[in-house]
Amino acid sequence: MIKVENLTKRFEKFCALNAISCTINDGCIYGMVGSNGAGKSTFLRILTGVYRADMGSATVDGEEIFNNPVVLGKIAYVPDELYFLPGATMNRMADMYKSCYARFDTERFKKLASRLSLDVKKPISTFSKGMKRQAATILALSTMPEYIFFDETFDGLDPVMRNYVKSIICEDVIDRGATAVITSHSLRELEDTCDQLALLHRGGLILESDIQNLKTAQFKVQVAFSEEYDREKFENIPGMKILHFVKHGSVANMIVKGERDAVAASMRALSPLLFDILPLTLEEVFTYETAALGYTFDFE
Amino acid sequence: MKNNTKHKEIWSFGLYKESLRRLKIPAVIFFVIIAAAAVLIPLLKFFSGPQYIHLSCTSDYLPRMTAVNANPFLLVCMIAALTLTYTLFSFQNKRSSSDLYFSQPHSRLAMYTSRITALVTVIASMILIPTGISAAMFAILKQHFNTQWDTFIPYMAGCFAAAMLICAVFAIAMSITGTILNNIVVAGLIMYLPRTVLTLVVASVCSKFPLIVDGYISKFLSPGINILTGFLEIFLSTNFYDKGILSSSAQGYTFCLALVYFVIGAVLFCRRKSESAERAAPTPFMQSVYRILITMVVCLIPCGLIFNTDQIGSYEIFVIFCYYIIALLVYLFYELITTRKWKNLVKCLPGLVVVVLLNATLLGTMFGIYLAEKGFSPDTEDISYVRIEYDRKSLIAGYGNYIDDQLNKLKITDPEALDTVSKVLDRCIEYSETLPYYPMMRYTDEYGNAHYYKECIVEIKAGSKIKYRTLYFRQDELDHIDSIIESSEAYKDIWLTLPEADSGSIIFDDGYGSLDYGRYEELFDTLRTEIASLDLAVWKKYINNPPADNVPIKFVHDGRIISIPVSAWGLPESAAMIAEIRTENSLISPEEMYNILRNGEFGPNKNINILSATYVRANGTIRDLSNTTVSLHDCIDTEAELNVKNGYLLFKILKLKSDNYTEHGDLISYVYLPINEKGIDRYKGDGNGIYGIK
Repeated sequence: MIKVENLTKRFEKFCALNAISCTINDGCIYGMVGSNGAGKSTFLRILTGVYRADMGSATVDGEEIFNNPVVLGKIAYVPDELYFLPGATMNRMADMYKSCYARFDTERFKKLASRLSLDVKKPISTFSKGMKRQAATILALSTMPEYIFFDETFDGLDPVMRNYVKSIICEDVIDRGATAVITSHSLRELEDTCDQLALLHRGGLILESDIQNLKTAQFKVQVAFSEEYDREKFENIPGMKILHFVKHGSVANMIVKGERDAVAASMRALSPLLFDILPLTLEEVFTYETAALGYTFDFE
Repeated sequence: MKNNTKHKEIWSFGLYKESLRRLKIPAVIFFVIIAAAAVLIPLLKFFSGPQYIHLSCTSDYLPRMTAVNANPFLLVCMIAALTLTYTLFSFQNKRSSSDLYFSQPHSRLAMYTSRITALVTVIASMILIPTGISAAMFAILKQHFNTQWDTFIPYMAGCFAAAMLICAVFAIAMSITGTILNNIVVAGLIMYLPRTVLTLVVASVCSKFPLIVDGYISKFLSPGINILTGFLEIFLSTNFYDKGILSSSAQGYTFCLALVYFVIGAVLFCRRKSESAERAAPTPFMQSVYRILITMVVCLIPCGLIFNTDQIGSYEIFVIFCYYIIALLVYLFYELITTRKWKNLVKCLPGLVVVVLLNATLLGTMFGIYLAEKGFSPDTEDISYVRIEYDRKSLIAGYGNYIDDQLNKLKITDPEALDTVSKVLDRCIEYSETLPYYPMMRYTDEYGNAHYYKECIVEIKAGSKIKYRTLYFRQDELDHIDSIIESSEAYKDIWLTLPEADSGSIIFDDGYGSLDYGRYEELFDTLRTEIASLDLAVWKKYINNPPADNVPIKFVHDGRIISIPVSAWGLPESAAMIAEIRTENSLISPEEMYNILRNGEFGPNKNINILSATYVRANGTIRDLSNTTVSLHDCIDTEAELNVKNGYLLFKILKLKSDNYTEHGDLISYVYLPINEKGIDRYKGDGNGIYGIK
């Protein structure tokens, strides 16, 4: 389990992470979304022992991460900006990983490279951007990590390969019980993969929730009444929180947070002319959630 | 929170192996260069040099081959050290590589030590193996070179120590900077700035107070003590190698400094922030430190000028002002090129206050040292002893110099002598302030004749302090001190005790033959005993004016060749023993000589240049054949053979090398060597002719 408490990281005057706290349970795929400069990469660098936190703590299985070989041995990291040894082939990189990671599985490396049709004897510098990312992912997964961290991993992959890589990650999580943390500035990238999602904004974790919960706890209500009404009419309905309210003529559209059946029953009790409950996309959920917190985002 | 596994890993074999793999290509390139030189240099020297007959000889006459001459390319290992260190530590300069390496499951310490041990392995191999090859080559060609085997290990040690220091300095520099430019700049600062400041302070103080003897202040203040800074002396001195890279004290100091830097490097590497990659300095504070230090390099010049200029006029002010303007430009320019932000030029201006303070501190330190040194003027009763070094101008080279050295080392405690030195010191301090013509250098006697003072280096111990001063004595003052010394037992001991000879160094008649060296040691013991039994006045008279028919006995003591002329007129026992040994020293047999000349490398029509050769006539006198060219032709024909059988070796002298009017090939005369009586005594050469046929 990864536990982060009051994690703070500053770069001179700039606060990249500001007292972040969260818990990432074993066997889950944790997505972290945020705009550029939100602190996603910094967060991952701390979780992978690259950076040392200025304040707070980040632990894996109760142990500090920074400069701790035992913990780092359980971790694989595919950064946003990839690095390969000059002129190296995948085989050469595999040799390097073997020297460093005791659990590096050569068979798995060969198998994954073969599945993704990558030539392990060809210099990586001749690979396309997407192929390089695949190569880095293969090398990371071949270390048989318990915790895998991907920073903007799907960037540069074509849709087919993106799904393929996602399926490999999911296999690791399901088959080996690994935990994956994936960051992206695109919510759509994470929507169908992650169990949990967190929203990072200007160094702060402003939202963290189970995806299923997010999707079911918020929904759009379309309602119309014969008489004149306004938002106040619904304010006192128990268990229902209006995140957004727009009224055109007699029809009102509301983004509501609450227990779906209870809200439906309460609304029907008001005898509306028109009543409908519509599901929200994850993007809409995030937009309204963050708007309720006073933030405005443009999710890609 | 569990954290007990965190710091246990101090080294990793996996990382070590990976580091070696990373170094493979550059290491092989450097190795090939050095190893190729190790093979080619001996061959080139062999083929480009003259062809030597070497049959059996003392190696003194062969070309001297030190390890440095044998493979100067070994110094390339220093460039290799820089390149290899950069290869292993440059990942810190790039964010992506920094992320990759620092996320590896190893402690920072293990990352550092594994890399350093890989560097040490590669560099040690790069030095050891080619030196082994070099040694093997010269062992194969041993008949043609006088290989100085004792220089091989010091040379390797010197190269290794210097290479280690380069590795350590760059490891530090790369741990505290994040760009190539700053890697180099900071490495240069670490390597040279402390020594430059030290040298400036010492040189300036010595210049302002000329009584200080700079070479005697401390060995550690000499730039040569650090092999890398000592390299600067290459431009000033031709024998740097002997002083620097082969000096055990320089090697020891350099290696210890490298170890200290490795430890500092380890601490800094462990504290390295990955985010420092691609940044000139890890923090704004460190950026200021680098900027200020770079500026201080320029400021050293005006500081030296201010300190050394006694009267600062408008010209001096202008020059100093110009240097400070340059320093300011360097300060601003460094900030601009490292951060590439114009707005930082204003932000960095407060740092100039630190520059000013550092300049003031440096000047204050120099003036402080100057005043403290000048203030050393002990009273006679406070002086424990003095030691006076000056050129006593002994007439006999070697032995006389040895005596002078011993007298220079003599600690004088006589109160009268101490009083004289104390007064001379006071006088010199007083005169030292009068520039530019020090009155202490010249004086006028009562008759109006000008005399120069005698310059002496004096060691003065007063209390716990030992100071060295260049003092200027009048001749009568020195004579007075010398008369005190000469009446002492120590003086007599110095003259009558011949020093020990270094192992294997005793020779006479310009070499020793196949005789047991023990006979030479016996001769030397006889000589020492005989000298010790002599009257001092008799011995001094003999040694200052030895008889012409002497045989010099040479030996090496403490690196100095000492020659004692032995004659039956002064040292009868030793002379008798020499005659005995000469008779025992069976020289070459006629048959052997004939076979050498006929069957050796020289054909019937070849000539041999005899650079120096003598033979002993039947009557015992010595005939000198030096600088002659002889034809071997007659040695191998029937007549010569007959001559050999009849007890003569016939040489046809074609040319006297010293005779410019004789054409090569003209017959001058025949020389018959009467080999059946005393034998051919000895041949020798200096690199252009026959070497040691014996």
